[in-house]
Amino acid sequence: MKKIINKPEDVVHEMLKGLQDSRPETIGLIPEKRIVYRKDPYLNKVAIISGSGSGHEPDQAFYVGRGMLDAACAGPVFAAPTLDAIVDAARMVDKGMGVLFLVKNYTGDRAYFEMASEMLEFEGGPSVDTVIINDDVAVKDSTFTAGRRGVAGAIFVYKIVGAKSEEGANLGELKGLAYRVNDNVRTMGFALKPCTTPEKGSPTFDLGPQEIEVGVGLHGEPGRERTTYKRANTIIKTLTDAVLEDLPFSGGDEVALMVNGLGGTPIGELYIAAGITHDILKNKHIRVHKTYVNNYCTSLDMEGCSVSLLRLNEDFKRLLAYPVDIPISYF
Amino acid sequence: MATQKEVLIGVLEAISNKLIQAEKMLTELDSQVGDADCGIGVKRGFSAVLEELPRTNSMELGDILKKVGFTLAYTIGGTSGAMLGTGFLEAGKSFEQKTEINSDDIAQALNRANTVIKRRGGNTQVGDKTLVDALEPAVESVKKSASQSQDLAGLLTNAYQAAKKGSDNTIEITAKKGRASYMGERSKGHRDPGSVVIYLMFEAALEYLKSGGHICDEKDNK
Repeated sequence: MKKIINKPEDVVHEMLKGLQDSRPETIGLIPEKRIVYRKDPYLNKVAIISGSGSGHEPDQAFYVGRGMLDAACAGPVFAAPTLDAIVDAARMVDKGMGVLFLVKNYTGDRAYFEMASEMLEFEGGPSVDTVIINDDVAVKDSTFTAGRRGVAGAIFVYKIVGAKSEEGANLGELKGLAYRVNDNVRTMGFALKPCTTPEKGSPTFDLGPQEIEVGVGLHGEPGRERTTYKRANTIIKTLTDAVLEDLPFSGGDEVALMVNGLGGTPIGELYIAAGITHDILKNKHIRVHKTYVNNYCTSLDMEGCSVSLLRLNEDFKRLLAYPVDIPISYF
Repeated sequence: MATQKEVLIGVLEAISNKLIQAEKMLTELDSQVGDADCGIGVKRGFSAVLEELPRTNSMELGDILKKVGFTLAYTIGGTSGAMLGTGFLEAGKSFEQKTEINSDDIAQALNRANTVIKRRGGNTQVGDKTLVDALEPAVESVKKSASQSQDLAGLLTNAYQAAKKGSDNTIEITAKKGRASYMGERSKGHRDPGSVVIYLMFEAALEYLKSGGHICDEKDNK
């Protein structure tokens, strides 16, 4: 394994240090708890927190900043953040209006965020609510979770809810909004090649040279089917059709499209995928209001991508366009 | 006669000591199916519980169990910390507002713990090779004992035997949940360490009771 790492056990700490060094004016870090928080002062706002195992960057630490998340709790690679980190983060970012946890549906993450809410209630902390994000259409169930997994669609939830929180919406309103975004977003992904975790040093699952995993989860969990490699047009149509059928989206809908790289796929290939999806949507008379193409929610160096569609309304459109100040802005 | 609170704290101490002593066995079991951190995690968690228990004297029964749950979740980490923590937390919620508990309350508390662990673990079922394989039969046994108005010793004996049998059953099944599920078929032939934690808890409670516990201990009246 050749990677820009020193020791496997230092990967997350060194990554977060690099993030803080690079954005000292906006990003704060509590290294021993792996809490990344927003440094600029804010008031009259519900605080928004997300968290999960590391390895999905830029999700979530790199979405901390004005207009999106107020803190992110990073676990070890592919393992849930600790209870004390979540509790501390919530106490730290609360400004008296409460805290909303936005959590992708994975067993460990969900369990610890739910327990953190209960602990804050038991010990007297800020009022907290949790919304579980489950946008993945690939599986009804998997070994990692009850029900559907949360994947790249989560980024739309953070973006829209984060923007609304800046406008001073209360905890209940934001919770309702988060559910409405989750109800209108669907995602499906596939892997060309598995990922390699720093600790293990070898691929997390085996995929033959001519095989692809359709409906893959964020840690390489199996999804809908393992099949033989096919050309981009065929693969991307499979993903897009699965997403369209699930909601279902229909002619006349206006959508935001996200083509999300899983970490190891060149941006150019992601744009090929975006072009194919645009053609499919045009044929179905679904209007794309805005397209997002990049690595948003990854699985380390996994090759492949996911396609997400969010059905829009005027509120969602306005909040998607709301300015953000987060570390992954290019310029 | 000892108060119920003293008994509860005594049982929790006995459970903690038992599981701390089991470190090596749990680590060996976990190295066969998982990442060999079960024993050390459980030891860390229940050592923290032992430190916490003397400070729970002024708490209500339910809050003592909740405190144990949070302590375990804080210190063990991983999915096992979340599940054990959830169990004690939910049992504690079931005791809320209660100053006296009977067999039915114990059955209800255990049932609630089992139900939420199953949901939180991702709809875990008996046969998935997890702690639920030992917990659920024990819960069913306690429910039955409570409905037959059995005494506490009988209730705990049956519960321990049911949990032990459930744990034995995990040897021959393939893991479907938790870290061992990564091994698929290769997890066969090994006992699930989580199921051992559960039967050891019932065993510890039973031993505490049999040793005179503090249930009718004259020393307490001195």
